Amino acid sequence: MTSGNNASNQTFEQHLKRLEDIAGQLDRSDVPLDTALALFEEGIKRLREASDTLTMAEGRLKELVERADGTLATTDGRPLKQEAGDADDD
Amino acid sequence: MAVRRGSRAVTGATNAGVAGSAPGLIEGRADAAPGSSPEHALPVSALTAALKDVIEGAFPAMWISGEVSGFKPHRNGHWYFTLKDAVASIDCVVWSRDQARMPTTPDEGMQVVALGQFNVWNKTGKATFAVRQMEAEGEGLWRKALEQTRAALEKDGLLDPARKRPIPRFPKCVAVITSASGAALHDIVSVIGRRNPTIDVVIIPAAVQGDSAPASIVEALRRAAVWGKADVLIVGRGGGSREDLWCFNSEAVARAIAASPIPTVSAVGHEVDITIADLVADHRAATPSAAAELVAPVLADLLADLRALQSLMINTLTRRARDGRRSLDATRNGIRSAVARRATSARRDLDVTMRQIRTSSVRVLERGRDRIGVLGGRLNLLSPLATLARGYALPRTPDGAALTSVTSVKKGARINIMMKDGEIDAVTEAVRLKERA
Repeated sequence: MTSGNNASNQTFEQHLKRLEDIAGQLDRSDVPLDTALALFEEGIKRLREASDTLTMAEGRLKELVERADGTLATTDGRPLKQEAGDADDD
Repeated sequence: MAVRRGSRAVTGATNAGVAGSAPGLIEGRADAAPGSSPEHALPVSALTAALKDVIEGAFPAMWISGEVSGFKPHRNGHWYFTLKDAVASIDCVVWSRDQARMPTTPDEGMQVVALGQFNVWNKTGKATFAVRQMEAEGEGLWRKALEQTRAALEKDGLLDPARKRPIPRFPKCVAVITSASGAALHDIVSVIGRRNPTIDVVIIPAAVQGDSAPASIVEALRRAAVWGKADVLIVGRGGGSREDLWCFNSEAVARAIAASPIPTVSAVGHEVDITIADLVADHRAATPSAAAELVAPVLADLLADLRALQSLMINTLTRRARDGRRSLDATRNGIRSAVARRATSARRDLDVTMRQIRTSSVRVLERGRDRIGVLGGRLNLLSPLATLARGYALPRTPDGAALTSVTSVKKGARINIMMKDGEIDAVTEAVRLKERA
């Protein structure tokens, strides 16, 4: 479950790195305009995906527990938002 | 004060009869009391037992101060030494089970305060002060322990700043090693939830104070490493006394933190002094809340960064397109004016050429006229009219064509004869062909 999140985190980081790279390349006059256009298109696509990974994920408070067979797993937990809300009430 | 309390305790013990017959002996009141005559002699063991009861019952746990002398860690695991001042000394022991509560062993001559209680040995009647807790003046023991641990870690290169790893910029999962019920977890969850509620927080519960804390933290670090799915690890607890926080100065904990495959942030709350855990962790936060702020980028900021990147890309591309159009316009204008320039100069060239042509044709004409004049003169000489002027006549057909042979004239044909001063129309009477010579 969390490994999936991990992968998308990687993607987010990669997205951002690539986006910064694209923004830099767009500014370079030695990059032909048609290449710049292709880069721009890729950039917009990555922007959308990166923003999706941020807005669609919902963090949870879980506990790492050792199962009977000795393997480790997390409990389902509760949404972090709710926890934060509780904290603000204090 | 301790002595007065001791006296009261002795009296209390007597009243309660706890010490049996011994108090009577000590206070010397009973006649036939044990030990009052050779007949009533006490066995040694009864005396030492009574002594044990009285002394141990009379003196509650108390703090004493003195200088450490003759410290000796025994093979049996216990520590033996003497505490002394200018005039007196007392034997002390630290049982092995109590040693964990002490930062380290005291040095010879170290001025310490020790919390303990008298133990009386049944076998010898000897009283020993059993120390459960000990502190050196000026925090000497703690400092010494810290220095020892620090030196050991430094020797193994675990404090090398080059070992520090960066915290991932965008962690998706933060593991927290702390007490499941402590304020630290609450603070961390609340800060991360407020800053970035897309991050998972996984608690790996551990005891963070007391004798079991170091082993518990080490085990939690092992679990975090085996599970391996966290991007960053916070190890810590809220504020407390130095003793409470001492587990974060444990060498075992330090080595486990140093060995963590996941980047770690130490967060031992409200402690002004840096702990050993702080030194080996990849990053140090002053409090659990600060650790949470360190690892969790604000979601709104990330989204704003993305929007800024988008604007940057759009603006850059727009500018490049505008620049492209501008340079296209410039090129077109350049071509246009170049063409115009070329046309003007071509026209100028044409004018020059035309003028030259005109000039030269005039010259040609003039030359022609001159030649015609000359030729005309010569032609005049050759002209038949000039011949007529010299007295010759020119026969022609009535149409005016010249007759150059008699064969083209027949008898009776009308001919015209041109002469210098007029013409004669005549009729041919006869045609005679000249004999060939």
